[in-house]
Amino acid sequence: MTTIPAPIEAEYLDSIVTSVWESLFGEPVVVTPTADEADDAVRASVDIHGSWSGSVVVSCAPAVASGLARELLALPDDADPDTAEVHDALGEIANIVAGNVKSLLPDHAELGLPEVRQGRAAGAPAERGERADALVAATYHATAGRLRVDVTTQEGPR
Amino acid sequence: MKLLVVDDSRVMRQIVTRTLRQAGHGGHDIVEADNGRSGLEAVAAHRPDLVLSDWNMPEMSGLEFLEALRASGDGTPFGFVTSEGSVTMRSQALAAGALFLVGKPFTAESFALHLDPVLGRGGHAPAVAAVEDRVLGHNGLPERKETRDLLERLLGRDCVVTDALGYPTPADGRTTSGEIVDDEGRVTALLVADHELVVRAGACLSLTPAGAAEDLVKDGETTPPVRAAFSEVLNVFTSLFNGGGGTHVRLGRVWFPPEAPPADVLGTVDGSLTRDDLAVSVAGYGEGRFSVVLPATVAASGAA
Repeated sequence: MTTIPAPIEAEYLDSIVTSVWESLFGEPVVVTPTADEADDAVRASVDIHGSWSGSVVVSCAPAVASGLARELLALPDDADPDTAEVHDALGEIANIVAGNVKSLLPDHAELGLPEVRQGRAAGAPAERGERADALVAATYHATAGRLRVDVTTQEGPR
Repeated sequence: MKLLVVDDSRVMRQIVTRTLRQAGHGGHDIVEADNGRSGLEAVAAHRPDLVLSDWNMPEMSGLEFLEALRASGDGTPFGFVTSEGSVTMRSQALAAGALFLVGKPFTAESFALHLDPVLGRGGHAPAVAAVEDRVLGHNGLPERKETRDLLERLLGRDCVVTDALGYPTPADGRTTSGEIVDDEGRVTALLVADHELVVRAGACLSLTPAGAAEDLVKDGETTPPVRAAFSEVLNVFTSLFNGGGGTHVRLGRVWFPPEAPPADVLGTVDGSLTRDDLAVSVAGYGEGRFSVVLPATVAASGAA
């Protein structure tokens, strides 16, 4: 089995996520033992293309994603953001984390646009015939709830 | 004044607006667009005083937007706010005519650093002498307090700036140098930093953990994000020389080891006594040395 080296180290990802959270939400996040997200989780992915190709995926429960969007859009506590707003918020978080991951890569790379899906719907790596290997995975606990961040690589169909 | 905020994410447009307010620029009119193409239309329709644009957007990217503006003869001040901040992108941004590139995540302080010189402070138009004269001492060198305050705002950490015993020598194979030039390309100052400061300050700004930074110091190496971040430190430091109605200057070439400034650049500062040799300490990362040297001819003409 070929071992694919991780593009960054876990402590770098922790540093990035902590800084991003502090900037966006004004609070720290706590690194917790890595846990899988439920099947109905909202997943925002941003592809990185270049000397290293892969994705940064940010996922969380729908209620957590809704809470994050409400806070970023400064909505009242009793207002529910719509799907577009929730996807926008999580997509932007993934975009910022991915941009900072990309900046740690040794060679030139480019960032794709965020793609956000809920649940293991069509379009997930498994259904595209690709294999997604989580090279770095971490779970964080914030006031809004639990959030998982994966840095994956994607190999073509075998 | 009127600002145009361009980003395909409504969430990010909201965050930029919020941060503008936190940076003391909440009094401006803000117009929004969601990609480069609608941004072009918005510039024509609203004539903003400054455009703040994302880089990566569908239909037309931020860079394509800026290039189209400049190609049409439109010189509206333009800055990027983006999640990516590589050396290549910063160079492309500046070459295309952008005034600055602010990386995400950003703080109110980094916004203020880049926007204050363009918009003035407190939401009002910039005064003739927007930067206090005391930023530069009588010898034309930045006051140490200003250097320390600026580094603390940029790095988000406590910094100490004191006398250095000795100074890094350009072209010794370990130091990094940067030239400050005027609009005619004449060298008005040379900045020299030792390997320790390049790594420690660059690591701090690029979110590289302190442990990894010490490995780089020990191995005598740097990484692309550390170098990109230290270039930004030099770029922001250069802003201390602008203001007060004096000659406008900018950061020119930066030489990381093994590169060194050419002989003609070194010659302009050779023997100059107008210099400040600093020991700069960044909380959590450590210390390094940094020298600012004015050319001997400038020093002579500037003498009181």
